[in-house]
Amino acid sequence: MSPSPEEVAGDSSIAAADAPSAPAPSSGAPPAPQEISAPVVEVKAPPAPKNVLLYSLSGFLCIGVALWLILAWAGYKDKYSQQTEGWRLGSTKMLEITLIRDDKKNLACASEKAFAGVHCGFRINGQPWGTTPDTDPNVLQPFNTVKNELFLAAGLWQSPILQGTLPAERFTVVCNYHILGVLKAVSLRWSATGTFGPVDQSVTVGNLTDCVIPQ
Amino acid sequence: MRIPTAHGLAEALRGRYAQLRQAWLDLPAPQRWITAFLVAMIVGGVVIRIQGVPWPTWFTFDEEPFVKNAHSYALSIADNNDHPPFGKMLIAVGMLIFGYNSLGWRFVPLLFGLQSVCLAYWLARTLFNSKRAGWMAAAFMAADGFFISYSRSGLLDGMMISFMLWGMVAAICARSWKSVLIAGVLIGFSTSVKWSGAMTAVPAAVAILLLRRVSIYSILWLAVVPIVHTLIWMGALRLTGKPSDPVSTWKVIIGLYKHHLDLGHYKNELTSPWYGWPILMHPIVVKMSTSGLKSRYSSSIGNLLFWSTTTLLVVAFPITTLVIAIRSRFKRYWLNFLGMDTTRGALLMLLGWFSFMAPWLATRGTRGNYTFSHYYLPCYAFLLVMLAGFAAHLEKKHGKLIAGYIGLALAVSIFYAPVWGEFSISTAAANHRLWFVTWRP
Repeated sequence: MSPSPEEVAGDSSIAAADAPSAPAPSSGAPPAPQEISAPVVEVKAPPAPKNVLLYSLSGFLCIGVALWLILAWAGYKDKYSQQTEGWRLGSTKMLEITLIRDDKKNLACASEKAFAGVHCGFRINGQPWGTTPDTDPNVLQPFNTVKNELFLAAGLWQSPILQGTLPAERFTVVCNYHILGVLKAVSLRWSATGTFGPVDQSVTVGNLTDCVIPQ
Repeated sequence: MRIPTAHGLAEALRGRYAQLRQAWLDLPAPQRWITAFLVAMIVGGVVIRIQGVPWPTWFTFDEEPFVKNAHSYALSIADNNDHPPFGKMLIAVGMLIFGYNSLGWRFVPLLFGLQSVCLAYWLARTLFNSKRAGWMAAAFMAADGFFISYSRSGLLDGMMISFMLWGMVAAICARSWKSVLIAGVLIGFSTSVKWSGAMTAVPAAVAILLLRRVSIYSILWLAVVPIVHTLIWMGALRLTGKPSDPVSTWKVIIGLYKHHLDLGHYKNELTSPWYGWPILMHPIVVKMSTSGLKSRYSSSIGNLLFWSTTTLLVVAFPITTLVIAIRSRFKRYWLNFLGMDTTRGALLMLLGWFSFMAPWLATRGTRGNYTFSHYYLPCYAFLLVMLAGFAAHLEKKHGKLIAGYIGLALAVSIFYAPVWGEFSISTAAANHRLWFVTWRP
């Protein structure tokens, strides 16, 4: 902000008062020469910075928003999977899953990552993790909903409804699916003798509870 | 820099208040009324845009393809929508903030809708060199259902309009080639939301030539529009892991262009031909939800008074201007009535209106009637700014007339607010406002 004329005048008077005064003539010193008027030096005040504060604040704000957006973008990929639209980390969804009884042994995934204790049955190099889905409620398997949405889930085969004899033909179960995380790189196997193939999109990971077979 | 004290601030505020009070007391009675009406329109328009914007929590009208693709951008998945990427990338910003929900996907369009009100002020103020015209343009845009409904939805049109207005403001304010370059970049943004945004370059270039504040050759900087557009598209392709070199990008653009030309084969009951837009043949109810016996509507029907006036002006103003141009003896009466600045500004806005109508007239052979009333949104924005210029000019001599006009417009806005801002109303109450079958959902 440029100073007003009054301010300039005020400032110069202050400057004059503050300026070092000429040394007083000491006694015995030769008389002062004829007073010579000092040359008038026009002191120009440095130009006031224009809106520096505004520009700096705006700049910081823009950088902050940009950084925050980048972080939010990175976080978004941890909250939502590419395979299933709108399935958010931490939410619970009711799903209808399509199954055959051999899926207990057929379906498997391979990954090194674990989410709240749940993990795939195999490591990325194809080595078994050590437990199987029919005995361990923390082993993930890939499933599809009746709307052909792919997801990874653990705990299905421990549901009371699936403990007895299972139907021989294809059937569906309705369960609550609690989303624990998003797996960005995972390989899947759809038959007991098949090989693992990578999935090109991220997939949600979670627990299945409260399963029922619709009647 | 001196930091003001609390006492100094209080003094300054008191001084400013006294100044405003004196200015208010100095105003003639009709102008006081007009000021009050304008304030009511702006405040009401802002409130009606913001309140209850996340409702309904599901997709309405065309939101689904835009929002799903915005979500795709946030997850780096390829876009499969038939519009340029920028608008969907902007919607994705809202979803990064609030998540994949209705507030997330309507947040950024709402911000742009509010911004457009400010930009209407800026455009009219600079174009007609009148603050009063600016306030009127802002109020007219704030209190018009066409703009309200598109501010409340996760759609692209409101964002395209906003960048269009930015581009026009930059062109009209241009004092050097750099400003023209900025105008070009902003028009490039508009084009990257929806292709029709490119038509802003026509009135922007004519404004630069007419106002003569910069070298006429500086309009060549507007050639940056396709460059900005291509760069944004390349960035979007890169973001989603698709081939993003210029040749691949160009192929994508050409493919989409051909798809657009071919849209005439499609059928949609919401379509309306271009000549139906100025006469409100088929405005679309952009959002609707029912709960119990009541429903909430966000109709894109405009303020009927503004709409009919601007449609009349579109016909009458060019004819009158032409007559004046041919029979120059009428010129002095004309200039006495409207003035040179107002006439020039109004003609420029009329050119903007025509520029955005022209693509739909030109492609009627291939697209047939596969056009929608919201294509008229940018045209209508230009007309409202023109109307504001006229009203501000005439207010000086015909204050009472303009006060009556704006008061009536406010009354129309209040009457229509329930079907613009999704108030919970009965079907009968909605039908009292949506008179014709083609106006109803």
